[in-house]
Amino acid sequence: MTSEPGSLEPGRPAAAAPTGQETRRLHPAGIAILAIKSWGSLWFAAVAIIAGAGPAVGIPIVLALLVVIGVGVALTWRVTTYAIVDGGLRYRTGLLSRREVDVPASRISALDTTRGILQRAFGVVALEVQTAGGTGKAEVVLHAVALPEAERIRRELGHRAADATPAPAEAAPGGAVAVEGAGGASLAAEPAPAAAAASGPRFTDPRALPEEASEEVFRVSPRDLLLAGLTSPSGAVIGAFLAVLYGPAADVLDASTKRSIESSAERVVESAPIVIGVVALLVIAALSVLSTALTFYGLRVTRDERRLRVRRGLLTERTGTLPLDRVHALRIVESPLRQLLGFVAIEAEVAGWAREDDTVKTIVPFVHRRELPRLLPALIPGYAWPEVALERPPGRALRRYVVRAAAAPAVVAAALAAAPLVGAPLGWWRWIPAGAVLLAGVALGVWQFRAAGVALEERRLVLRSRGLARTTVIALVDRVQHRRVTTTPFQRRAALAHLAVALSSRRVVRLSFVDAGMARRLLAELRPRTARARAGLVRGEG
Amino acid sequence: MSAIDEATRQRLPERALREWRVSALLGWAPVVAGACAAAALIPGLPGWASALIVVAVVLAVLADLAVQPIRYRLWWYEIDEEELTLQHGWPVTSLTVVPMVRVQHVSVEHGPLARAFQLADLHVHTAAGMVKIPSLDREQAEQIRRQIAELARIVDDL
Repeated sequence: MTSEPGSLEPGRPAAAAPTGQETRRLHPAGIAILAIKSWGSLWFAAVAIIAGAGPAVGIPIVLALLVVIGVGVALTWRVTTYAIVDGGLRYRTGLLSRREVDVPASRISALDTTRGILQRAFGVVALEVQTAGGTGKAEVVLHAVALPEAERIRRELGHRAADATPAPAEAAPGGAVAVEGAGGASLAAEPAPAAAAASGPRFTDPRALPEEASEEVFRVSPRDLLLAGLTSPSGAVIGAFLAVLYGPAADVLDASTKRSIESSAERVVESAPIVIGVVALLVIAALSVLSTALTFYGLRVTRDERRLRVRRGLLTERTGTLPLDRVHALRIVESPLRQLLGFVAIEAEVAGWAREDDTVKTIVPFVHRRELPRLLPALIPGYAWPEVALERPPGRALRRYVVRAAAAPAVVAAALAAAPLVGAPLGWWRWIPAGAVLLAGVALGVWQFRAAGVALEERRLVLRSRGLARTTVIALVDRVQHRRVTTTPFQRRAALAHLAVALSSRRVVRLSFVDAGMARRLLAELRPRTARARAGLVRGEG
Repeated sequence: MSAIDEATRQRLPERALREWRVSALLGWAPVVAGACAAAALIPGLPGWASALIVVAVVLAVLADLAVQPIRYRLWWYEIDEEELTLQHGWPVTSLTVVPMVRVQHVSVEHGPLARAFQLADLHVHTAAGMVKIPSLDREQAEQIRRQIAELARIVDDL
């Protein structure tokens, strides 16, 4: 029975509230979990206090602090409540300053559960209520609820989401902005062309829960995990080290050289500081390989009609959800080392309710390139790996790519070369790093030129570029907000231009130094479909 | 409705250039004053250095003023049922296309100087940010705002 003051309808008698709508508190384990978390975040301060004030004084102080925090957490637990009321989640918390949140079910894009070590120890889960884009910070976090209770909350809110019409994908809640002076009419803040492109179903059957009809799209294998860890930057350190010691290089050397290398290696090992340094390096690298493996352990991507669900983690099991209609582009990222082996990462660019919520979320951290044609349409309908060849920048653009990439390194190289002139007495050897830096800049420019390309295939824009990693952006043309072609007088003389396509406020994809004619052609072709265009109406008539 | 169907390039009103000039002069005035003050008042500054500062600032002002007529000539916009196209800028010239279906919000803004010239800026908002047509005739800006508001509503999105 709802008995809290200040309920939405003050005149409504408490007896009229149906069962299932009671106000509840979090599971008692929440006290322990939050207390441990708070204590954990203080360890640094605790160490500082003990070190500064000495153990005799410091330890009692720290203990007192821990007790105070524990009491605060317990009291906060006592005043934190939630209830499912009128098809939404009502959440109240706050000891000193009250925080009251009412989230209508139609605004809830996901209910994610997290089971960390602490939650596992107490047999509960943490429930995160996602509203903005499904990728930003959770609106409400219930830190400890029993598993059956989490299921109940999911069911009740899922039901309400099903009953509410229109479906959240089409509704235009807080994000909708009225066009001024248009008499109060409002436009949908988030256009639903992706639904058309994705043939997203209209969510009309109140009995159909989103959890049904989900299929597994991707599952990471242990071998992939190992390779992912090894090809991460720190993994490369280990790899290089092992390769030097035991790799092909060793075979090339003759027996006596090998023996002398090994004996000098023994001498090096005897020299303690170097050993400690190297061992520390290896340990750090090994730890980060381990952490990559732990983070992505057991990664599974499943998809139902409205969203992608990514489950991963060993110690802390996380589920993240991604509403399909909020994805406005996919990014295929190939970092240099991984590109060599043919592995890519798949990320999604996701629109949030507010501009600041636009983010990039990794869906598949590590997969071989040959899986892409199968995987992309399975992940999000409407997307596909391009089969046509990309149009590349013309040859005359190479010079500009190189100049742009080598500009900063050239400054560094010049500074190095001119160092003696300003009093820093570097010897002749300074030309070596100067030349190397300059060469690296030029090489990067060439590499970037070779990676650049664009294609328009079946209402999909494919744009490939390289910063350091080669990134291919696949966006639905219907998702394009505005597009822009930029030139300077010099570029105009060479018939070159820059192309920029805005997908949302933070995500603008660009391609530099492309043929000006092609840029203008794309500018014209990148228009969204409209009903009039579909009906074949001619512009300018009547 | 025929005025909208007629897709022609529109230019900014002539007094826009005058407003830009005045705005630039007002903006540069404190900088010039500061440079002159620095040149005159900093002790121990060699003669050539203070002359250099003043000359550099004056050149910057002249360059800014010289560029404005070029920019004014390059500025055009075009509104039809499907999209808004505009070109602006020099030396970096941009050609921008905004589909009407993507327009979320249109507003007219003006600062005190613009008001003195009977000019106003038109801000067109999409989910990706804002596109601006500056220094339009105030009444025309209002009219265009209403036009875009109508077009953005009646063009059906799939």
